[in-house]
Amino acid sequence: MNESILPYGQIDKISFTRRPTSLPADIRPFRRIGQILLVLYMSSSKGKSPILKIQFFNTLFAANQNVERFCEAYELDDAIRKIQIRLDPFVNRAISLAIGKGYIKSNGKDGHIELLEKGRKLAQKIAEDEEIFELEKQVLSFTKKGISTAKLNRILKKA
Amino acid sequence: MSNKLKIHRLKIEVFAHQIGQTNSQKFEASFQFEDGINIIHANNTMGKSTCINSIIYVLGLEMLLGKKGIQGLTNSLWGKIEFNGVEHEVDKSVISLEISNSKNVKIKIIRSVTDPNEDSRLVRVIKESGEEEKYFVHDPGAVQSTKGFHHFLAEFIDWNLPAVTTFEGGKVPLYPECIFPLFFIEQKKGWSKLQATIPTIYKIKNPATQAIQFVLKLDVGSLNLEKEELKAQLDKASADWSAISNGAHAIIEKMGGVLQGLPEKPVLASEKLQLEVKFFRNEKMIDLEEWVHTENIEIAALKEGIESNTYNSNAAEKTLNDLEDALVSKETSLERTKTEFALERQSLEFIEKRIETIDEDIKKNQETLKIQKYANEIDNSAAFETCPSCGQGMKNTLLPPSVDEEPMSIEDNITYLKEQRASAIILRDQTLANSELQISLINSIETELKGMRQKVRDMKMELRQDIRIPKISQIRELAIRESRLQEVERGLSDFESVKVQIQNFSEDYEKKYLRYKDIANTLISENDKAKLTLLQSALRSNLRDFEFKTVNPLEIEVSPYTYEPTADGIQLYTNASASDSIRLIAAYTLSLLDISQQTAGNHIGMLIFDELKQQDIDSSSINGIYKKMQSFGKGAQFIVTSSAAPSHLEEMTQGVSYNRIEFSNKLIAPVQ
Repeated sequence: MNESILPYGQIDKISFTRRPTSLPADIRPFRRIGQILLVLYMSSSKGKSPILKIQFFNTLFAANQNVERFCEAYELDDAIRKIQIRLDPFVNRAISLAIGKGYIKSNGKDGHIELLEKGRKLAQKIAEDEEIFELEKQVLSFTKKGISTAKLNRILKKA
Repeated sequence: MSNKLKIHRLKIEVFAHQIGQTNSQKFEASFQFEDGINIIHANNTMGKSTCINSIIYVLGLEMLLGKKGIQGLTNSLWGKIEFNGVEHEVDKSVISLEISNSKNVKIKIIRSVTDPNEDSRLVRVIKESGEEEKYFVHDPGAVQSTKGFHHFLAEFIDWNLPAVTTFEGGKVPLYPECIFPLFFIEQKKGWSKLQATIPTIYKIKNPATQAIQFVLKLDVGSLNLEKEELKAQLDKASADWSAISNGAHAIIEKMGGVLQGLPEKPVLASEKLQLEVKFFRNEKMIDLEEWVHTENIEIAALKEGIESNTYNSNAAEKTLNDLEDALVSKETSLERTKTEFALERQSLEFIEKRIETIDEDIKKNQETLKIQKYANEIDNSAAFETCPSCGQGMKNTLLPPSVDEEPMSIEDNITYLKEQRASAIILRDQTLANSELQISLINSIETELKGMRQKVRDMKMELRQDIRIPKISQIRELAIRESRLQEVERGLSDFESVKVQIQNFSEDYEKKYLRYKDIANTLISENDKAKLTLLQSALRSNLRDFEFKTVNPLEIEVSPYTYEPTADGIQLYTNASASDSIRLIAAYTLSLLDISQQTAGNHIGMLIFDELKQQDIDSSSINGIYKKMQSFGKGAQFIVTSSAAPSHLEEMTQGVSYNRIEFSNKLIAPVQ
């Protein structure tokens, strides 16, 4: 009966093609790697930073209202208090990939990551291109190198 | 043709005292330059570069040396000078340069390097008449202001510096510092690549390309200016258009109608606008003509009714009842339309938010693509198709491999988002148009309701009145409708003049728009094409003569966009050897001089090569370069420094006649 509607008899085979799906840019490796390198480049002395600090900035960058809340605070300490750090697994994965590519290295002892020459070159290009990461750069130039590990730990423990 | 700039004499004067002593001693170096080739020959560390750098400094171009101010110059001009093993502390040093231009006007430029009594930003210019003028360098106004030295220099060279765009969107003149790297090849950075010493602090877009455009006097420069000018006019036209269009809508809305067919963006005259004016009657949209026609008939009937004065209270009561029913149903339909309008607004908001999100994602994707490109430039690493550690396949995503998704490439993702955006825009425009129609409908219902309520009140009063008195409800209705009809007629005549305005505007807009399109589509003018072809063949033949090895010179092309030498579409520097890089820079700068002179371009007619024989480059190659220089005869000036051994220099300059400036000792020596 169905054959009158759908001519199955005349069809040899039916194939399904899987169409690629659209992904938010935020889960593309190079976007997150770029952010990580930029944080190391602009906000850390000697290009070295604990992963917690990377996560802290990632939380900031993740949503506009975070940045607004952060930048509105006059004192840096207050600003840090206003952010609830989210430990984002994508950041960890991006860090692993960046290590794999030789942009950064992990300092096994104290859980720090450190910018390598190749990563510094890429970070510099990103920093120089005015069209990339405008918001992120705004935040990073607001904090300068003022977010030290000690400060971050102290304030977070208090909170 | 005579050179736009020629150097005759350079003099460096240094006053210094021996450490521990007070009396100052004068040191001096003086150079006389001829037309054609000049070779300054001395051993290393004797101060050849000091000579070249002094020329650069006195012209206010020290940015080419990488540093602003005196730090760009050797220590012996501002710190300590050493002669025969005795160190002296510098008290004062002054550089003076005699130059002339194409009109054979000779001037002397004097600038101090260090002088307790004079600012080193001051440049003094002494004319042949002995008259002295003071200018300054390295102030924001050095080019724009008439007191700026570079403004003076540009006029002296007979340069009309174009205004160019900065990254911040502003306009600045193409600073001479951006042009001179094509003429002066400095020793430290100059030989690493073409135009290596262009400063970036001016934030000019594509300064290297702009400089070559200027030197060759390419049309594309002036075309670009015209294009930007037109773009600005078109942008302004868009703003003007919304004013006109708002005016047109206001006229029609004032008379209670709806204007259709007037787009938000300016239209070309050839696109023939179909403007339609519509009116609501009983919540239905009808054409203007139909509305006027019906109004006229009904007004006539009203008049007749008033004149005949046949009042029947029974009939009046029935009419009143009907009217009251109609009033209720009209109120309901007003509520309904308002609800629909609110919903439409809500979805409009939703769509706008969606467009915003898409825009943000497009931007983020584009940024990511750029970062990927930069990464690729650094170490050829492309997107994450394989894991950098274990080499297993990856899908350029941060999602764990267990997530079974096949993501699009970033490029496809951008295309996809753009398509999404386009359909969202269509949806938004439709929703916007709908909600505007609903506003008109709401207005028209509200007007109708007002009239109906008035009529109900009037009729109720009439039922208690003497039947011989003319009925107020009818008279009021007649008055209102007649005046509305008059208003519409007046409005329509206003609208006619707006239509003429729109027509004129569209014609003007079309002219500008077509010219803009024309320029935007013109990749390259015939003139420019001819010049670039000449440049390319000159470059090829020079490279062949200079024994360029990296690729066959015949495969080298001049990019029609950046004018850089390319092979297979790739910049040549990336894979040229150090000695080939020198050959390439010499060949390119000489070709540029050649073609600029042939086509009356803006080249100053001079090249300075500091330490031509820097790398292990064959003497025969250098000989080729000198021979090429010689082919210009007295038509160009070349200043070259060399520290080659005397016999070697002879080999390199075989068959070449030149002015040799020889130093066996330090260039800057005490004056007896």
